[in-house]
Amino acid sequence: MKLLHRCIRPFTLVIFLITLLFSISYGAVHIPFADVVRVFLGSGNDTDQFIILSLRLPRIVEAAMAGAGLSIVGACLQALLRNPMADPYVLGVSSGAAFGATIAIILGLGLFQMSLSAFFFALVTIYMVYTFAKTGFKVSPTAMLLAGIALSTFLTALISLLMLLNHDELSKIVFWTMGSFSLITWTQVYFSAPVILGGSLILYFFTRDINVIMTGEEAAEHLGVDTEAVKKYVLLLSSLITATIVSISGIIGFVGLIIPNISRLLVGPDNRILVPFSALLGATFMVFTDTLARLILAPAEIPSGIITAALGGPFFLYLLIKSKNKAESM
Amino acid sequence: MKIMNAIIQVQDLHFGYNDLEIIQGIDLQLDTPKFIGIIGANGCGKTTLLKNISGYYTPWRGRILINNKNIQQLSGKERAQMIGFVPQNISDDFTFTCYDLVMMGRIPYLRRFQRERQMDREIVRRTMELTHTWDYRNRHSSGLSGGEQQRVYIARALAQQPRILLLDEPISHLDIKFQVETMNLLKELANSGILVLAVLHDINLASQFCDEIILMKEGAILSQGKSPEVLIGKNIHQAFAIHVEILENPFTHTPYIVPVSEEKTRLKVV
Repeated sequence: MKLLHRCIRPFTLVIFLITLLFSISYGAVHIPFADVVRVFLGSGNDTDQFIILSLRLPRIVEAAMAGAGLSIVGACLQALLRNPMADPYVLGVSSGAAFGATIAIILGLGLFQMSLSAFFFALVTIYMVYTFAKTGFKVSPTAMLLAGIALSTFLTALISLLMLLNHDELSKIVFWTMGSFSLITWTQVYFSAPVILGGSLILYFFTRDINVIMTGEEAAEHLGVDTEAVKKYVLLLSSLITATIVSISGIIGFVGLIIPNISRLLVGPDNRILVPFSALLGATFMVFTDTLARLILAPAEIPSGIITAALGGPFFLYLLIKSKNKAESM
Repeated sequence: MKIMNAIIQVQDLHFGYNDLEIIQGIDLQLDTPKFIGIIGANGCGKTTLLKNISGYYTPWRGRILINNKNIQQLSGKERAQMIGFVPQNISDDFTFTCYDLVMMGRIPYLRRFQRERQMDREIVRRTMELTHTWDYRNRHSSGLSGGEQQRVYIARALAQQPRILLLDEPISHLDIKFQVETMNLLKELANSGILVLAVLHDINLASQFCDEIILMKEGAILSQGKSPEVLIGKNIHQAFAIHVEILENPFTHTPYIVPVSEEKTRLKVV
């Protein structure tokens, strides 16, 4: 067990690098490793260069960032809300973004405006959830969860109604909701990288405080941790990161839920270790599923969201059964 | 002057929840490290008083001075360096190891990005040995018994190196062995120079172990002093609305309280 703990981090890093290499090499067109290396040394042929540098690399980078970001947010929210079932979408960010995207699609706006609209409505939603859950200066996690669920349900109803009234755009909306990295260019990477990477870094600075809050908010307060401030910052950063990711890649489910849970099984509950490890594992998982999304029906693509959910759903059930058995044996 | 030495000073404290005033004007001064038990009926404001003293609640009126400094004007870290608090309900769904839990007590002394120093590890080890928790430092707290968990959380509070230790019903859900062990530990801590203030429900254990007793009733202090002065029939009747016989504990010579039936006549009627 000790050995596993020591080896798991370098091991995962190696897996991540291998996944990256495969992801660059495989796709609708297979580019042998030797040619990949040549492209990075600046001597490959033009087609290979275009495919790798302009098509594959931006989406791989975005997928890695999205996987890492969603996993970090998931880990932090699970700890903060003291609920292993929490995920980045639990506070309604995804429904807000989907609503924004739906409106943009119906209005026939371009890709960039769609992302902007999704981002804007995601922030509006989180603001509303926060306002509903606030009593005086304190924010109750349970109230936030409930407000998030209520708003999500409401927005989903609105989206369904909009879809019903705009039959022609139905497939476009559905495709967006399922989440995909197929339309990513360097532009999106440049826009999202500062928020995702910067936000994640700041979140990491709060991990020790989050650890204490996990043992009870009152107890944390008595250890000199300003619980309300930590909650506010973590929720704000989480929402920003999630909104950014969702507005660019759509709703990719289950990553932010299962990756932190698997990571917790592997490296334990200490967020100072858990958060960076989740980021690495999440990036690996997302790049892997995105590669599958390109390969399974090549040259056509499946939305990544379908694959993550297809892998994530059963695993989540497994976790559920496992925790149930643990509870019974206690 | 006497006031200069006060560790805790509560001046005209008023506090409540929403519109309901719970603490209705409390004045209290504690000058020397002692083991002090707060007793009183359910809902009389014992825990509320404790959390006002810890700075967790902001008083409606009046103020709390710790070492002559207003607790509300201190930063969270400054407070945590002076006061250790052991809450009644402890949640640990994610199961840290006991060692990690106790190490959290060092947070008030660490800057945001600072790693734990050798000094912190030594202090954690010392407090865990003192509380007899060092042996299960690598175990998860969720697998421990209530008494063992309680000691881990006392160890965490002690790792804060506080001058004052506040405990909210530390022995209520422990069996008699752990109750006595915990009370003995608290007494030792008081002897070593920490002011220990604990909300207690068991009057007889409080009487036996505490240097001083604070008896509360409806948000005010009814009586304060050594147990033979406080635990008299009249006080108990006022605070708890029950009749008691006061005996003497033959070993410690402290008051020992036995409730007696209030209305013996009713049985005859039935």
